[in-house]
This record gives sequence, structure tokens and C-alpha cells, in this order.
Amino acid sequence: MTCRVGEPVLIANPHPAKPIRLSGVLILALCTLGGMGACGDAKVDSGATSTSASGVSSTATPAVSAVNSQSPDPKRGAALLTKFECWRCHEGTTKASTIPVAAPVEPTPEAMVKADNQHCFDCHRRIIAGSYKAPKPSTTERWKKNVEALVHVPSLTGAHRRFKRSWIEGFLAKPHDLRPRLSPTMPKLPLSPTELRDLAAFLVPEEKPSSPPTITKAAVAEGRALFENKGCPSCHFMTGTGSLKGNPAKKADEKGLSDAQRLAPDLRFARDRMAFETIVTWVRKPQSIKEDTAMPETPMSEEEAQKIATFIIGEELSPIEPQKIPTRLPVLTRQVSYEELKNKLFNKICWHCHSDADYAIGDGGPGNTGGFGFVPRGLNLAAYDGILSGSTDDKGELRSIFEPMPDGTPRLVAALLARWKEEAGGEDTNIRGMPLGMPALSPEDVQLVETWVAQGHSPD
Amino acid sequence: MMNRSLTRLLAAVCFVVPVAIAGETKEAVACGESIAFEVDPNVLLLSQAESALQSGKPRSAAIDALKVFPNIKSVKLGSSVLLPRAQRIVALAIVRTDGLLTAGKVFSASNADERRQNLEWATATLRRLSITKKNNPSADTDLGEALSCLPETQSEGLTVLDKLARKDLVTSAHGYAALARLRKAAGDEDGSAAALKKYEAIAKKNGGKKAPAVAAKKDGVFST
Repeated sequence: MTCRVGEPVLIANPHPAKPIRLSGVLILALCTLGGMGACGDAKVDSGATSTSASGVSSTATPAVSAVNSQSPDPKRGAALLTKFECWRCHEGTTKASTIPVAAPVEPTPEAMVKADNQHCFDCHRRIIAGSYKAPKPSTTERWKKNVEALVHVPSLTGAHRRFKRSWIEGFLAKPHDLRPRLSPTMPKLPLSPTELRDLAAFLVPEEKPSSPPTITKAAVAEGRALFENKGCPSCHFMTGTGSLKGNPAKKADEKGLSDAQRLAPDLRFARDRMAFETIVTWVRKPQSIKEDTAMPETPMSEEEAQKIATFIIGEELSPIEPQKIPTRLPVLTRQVSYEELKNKLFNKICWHCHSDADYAIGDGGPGNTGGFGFVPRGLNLAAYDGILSGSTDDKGELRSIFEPMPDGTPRLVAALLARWKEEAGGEDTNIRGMPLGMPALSPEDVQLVETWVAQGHSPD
Repeated sequence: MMNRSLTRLLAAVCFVVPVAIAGETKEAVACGESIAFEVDPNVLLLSQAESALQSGKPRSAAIDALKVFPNIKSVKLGSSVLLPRAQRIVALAIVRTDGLLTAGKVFSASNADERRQNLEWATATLRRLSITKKNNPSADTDLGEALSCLPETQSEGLTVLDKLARKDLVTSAHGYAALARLRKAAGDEDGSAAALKKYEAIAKKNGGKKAPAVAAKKDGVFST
């Protein structure tokens, strides 16, 4: 984009205008389309001793499918890949399916520049690598700390070889934390039931029938021993099965984790995500299914792989423990300034999605000019007057973000509280939780926001 | 009580409200502008200009913006992504100096006609930005503030700002000050007081003490 301005006449400009590179709005709404990382498994037929995996995943699917009578259309699903901008977070979108798909980003120079600045994780990776231009080295160092845990996202490569269509449909309908060591999670996108089906059909155009083995306690125990001896727990959690030998149990915010550890999914969901046969192949030769996987190839026989897969699909799992929703803290008595919130939250987290196009010199982000399939809301949280400008509702009417929800909670605060609920496995049907797909704010940070709003949200 | 309120109101409507409202970062926390600073110093100039405008230095703000677009009145629209920002800065600088901005040969205010022309350009510019941004309370507040300056557009200004205020969407202290003045002129004392109260709530304080709203107006040519 060339920026030509008028010639200087009376006021000297030491910096004549020159082409401006789109700085873009880094979109922090991080997606983690579950299931792209490592192992998985098949659902066990009735009569076997195995349990269902989670209560989170497969239970979400029937309700979605029930409302659809039309056949799913993988080609429509391919178009949805662009509509919902999966490429903003995921690599491998063009290798996800056997259905041909045009490149999600038109290969025009302008579009490529735009895409470059809108790919959340690529930007973070360049910050970590030091190749992203920043005003000064200290800024880069500060950014590095901010994005350290925000550089990994599973690629969609080979999704058609890995997943069950029903799992994808259910997961997209009700995303949940699939990867314990990854900070972001797949956000809930505004997919209609038909779109869910079409997108799942695109990602998994064909499914082969699965014939899982009969599962016995002895076979599961044998598989578990192999699973532990092969070192699988060094990367994978399998919640609901007690402690596994060799599991370091590192959390998402810990440093020094490898790519494989960051991306390794919780294997309790594997039986919902993959067929038994897929797991066997995946355990032995993961790169034969997904060439860019971080999952290492572990030497083992076909028989050993089958035993491990049997453990993965057959291990009895205790129910998922409901996460506790944090307790809302009372409004502070001290003064909370806009400056404090700006530095800590608005211009550190929120503005990645809620910016102003004129200022970001690109677009205003999904929460302003639209994106990820969301309609434009016009919300700019990067400046005080933007915050006061509010957002548009579903009818396109403007509303203040301080307006009270039915329970009296200001809309801005309600969005933050809704994220707590989402992380605990629930949902607030009145409002989407924020930050989208990111870890919820701490009770202390929500308290700051709530205090500032209660004190009259002044610019001081 | 009434006199006190009127004094405060008058103070609020004059030239410069030496308060800063909008938050703006000179150095971004992550990405966005700070990248562009390095790529194009003009972005930095405009950012400085906005800070100056928010700090009650409209003339300084306009000069910085005019460094980027010296011929701001004749630059082809759409020629630069920075143009709308610069135009907004200069237009508001004109509004907040009540048309008395002088900047080289581009803007002079040696007589009432030139002053009026300045205000007309500012109003037309902010109107265009408001139309372009569509449904943007910040742009509409700027427009409402500008419309309040000229007698023939004050009625429209009142409509614009009233509509925003009903939804709590006036985005600047200047906007509330203009609304208070327009309501007062329309005989709506209570509405004027309410707008003034909102003005005081969001007018930036300096060092814990609220800045005086304004100095007395020098010239009442365009006042109501």
C-alpha cells in the first residue's frame, strides 16, 4: 500500500511519507482445534468393559446432528474454512482434507501482507525468534514474555486421516480444554448446525468402519504397562485414570516444555476422536498420518501398538471433575485508573481483537471489523473513546458496554465472568466469554475492571 | 447555585478543554502501532498530535498533523490510511480553538470569514468521517462537538449528541460540554446539568485535581 501525501509547503516534514506496511492487528483469539496433535482412539462397542471418555465430547454431538436432515456437504465445508478464518490460527488448512480447497488466502501481495499480520501464532513465533520488528530491543524482550506460551497451535494437516467426523462436529459445537499444557483453547465460533456438519464433513469426507477388539481388564492393564514403559506419559495426560508412571504433570504456564509436550492432548478424549485402527497407526507411525506432527516415532511392534491402543480406548475413566467457577471479588475501595487497566488488560490483551482499523493500519480485529465468522461489532478497546463508543448488538443497534445485563452486571464485566463459566465447562447463553479462546482473567483482574466501571469509568 | 452552574457551563464550552480523554499508547504493548512507528515515522507524528490534542494543545496537535499532510485540504481522499486520523486531529483542533487555528497558509483566522471557513471545513470533514465510519459514536461525538460551533448547525448538533447521550455513548468530555451548552441554549436546564455532570465524570484530572474546564471565551461570534 502506497501512501503518498501532498508536498510539504510551509511545514517541514523530516519524515516524508513512504509506503506503509500493514502492521495489522494481532489476533489473539487463539484456536486450538483439538485433535490435531497426537494420539487418539476409537469408541468401544457396547458390551466391552470400557467406559465412555469424557462426558464432554461425544455427548455434544447427537443434539447437533438431530436438527439436521439435509446431507452434509463437504464442498460447502471447504468454503467455511475461509469464512471462519481457520488459517488465522491453524497451519495445514489446505492439507486438512481430500476435498480440494482454494488457498484460504488469495495470493495477492496485499492479501498476503494482511494474512501475515493476521496469523496470530506466526506473529508470536516471529516475536520469539526476534524477527518481528519492534521499536526497540527491550520491547521485543517484553513481548517475548507475553507470548511465550502462545506460539503453539495444532495444524490441521491430515485431519481426514485422523478423526471421527462426529467428534469434530461435537467439539466445534462445544469446545473444551483438550490440551492441558496449551494456554489457549479452541473458541466457540458462531457455527450453525448445518455449518458444523458441513465443516466436519469437509475435514472427514469418508470414514472407514472400525472394528475395535474386545476389551478385557487384563488387556487394558498390559497396554497401560506398555504405555508407561514407552514413555508416553512424558508428554500425555490421561485424566480420569490416576497417576501414570513418568508423567511430569507440568502445567500450561511452565517453561521449558517441548513442542510435543505443549501440543499433546489429554488422552481421555482419544476414544471419541479417533478410531481404534487409527490410533494403532498413529502410535507407531504418527508422521504417516500427519507429516508435520510433533509426536515422535517410538519404536514398537504392531502388536505393542495395538495393546497401547486397547489401553487408550478401554481404560476405565472416572468422570470429569467439574471445575470450580472462581469467586467474584468485591469492588475495591481504592481508586482504579484507566491507565492501570490499559496497561494491564485493554492494551495488552483485549486490543488484539478489539482495535481500530485506522490505528492498527490493517483491520480492527475480529471483535471490531469482524472475523472468525463473527459479524462486526465495532468494539474498540484500544482507546478510551473507543471503550465509551460501545458495540453493536445483533440488530446493529449501538449499546454501551457498561449497560447492565439482566442481573445488573455491566456488560463488560459479564463477558469476563462468562469466560469463567466456559472454562468450567458451562456457557452463558446471554454473552460470549472473553477473552475469546484465551485463559480467563484472574479474579483480581476482573475485580479491577469491575471497580473501574463502578467508580464511573473515568479516563484517569 | 444557578450562577455557579452557568459559570461551569460557560467554562466548559470555550476554546480548549485542557483535558485528555482518549487513551493512547506511544509504545504499544504488543504489535499494532509500535511496529508502524518504526516503519513510518508519520504514524508517530500523528500519535504525538493526538496526545497533544488530548492534553489541551490543539494548535500543537494541528502542526504535527500538518507535517504529515501539509496540504490536508486538498489531499485526495483514500490516498493514505493515515489521512482520516490527520483530518480528525486538525478538524478538532479547529473546533477546540473555535476556528482560530492558524497554521501557515493552510489555515488562517485573521478575520471572521476565515474563522467561519475554518469551522465549516472542520464540520464538513468530521461529517464525512462520521459517514465513513458509520454508526461510530466516537466519530459522531466529534461531529456533534463541531456542529455546536456554528449557529446554523447547533440544532443538528443537539440532535446528534442527544441521541448518543440517551445510550450513554458520548465519548468525550468535549462532547458532553457541547451538549450541556446546546441543551442550555434550548432551555433544557436539567438536561444541561446532567450533561455537565457527565462532563465532570469523564473529564481527565491532572494530578488528582480536575483541570479547570476552560478559560473564558475571547469572542462570542459563534456562541449561542
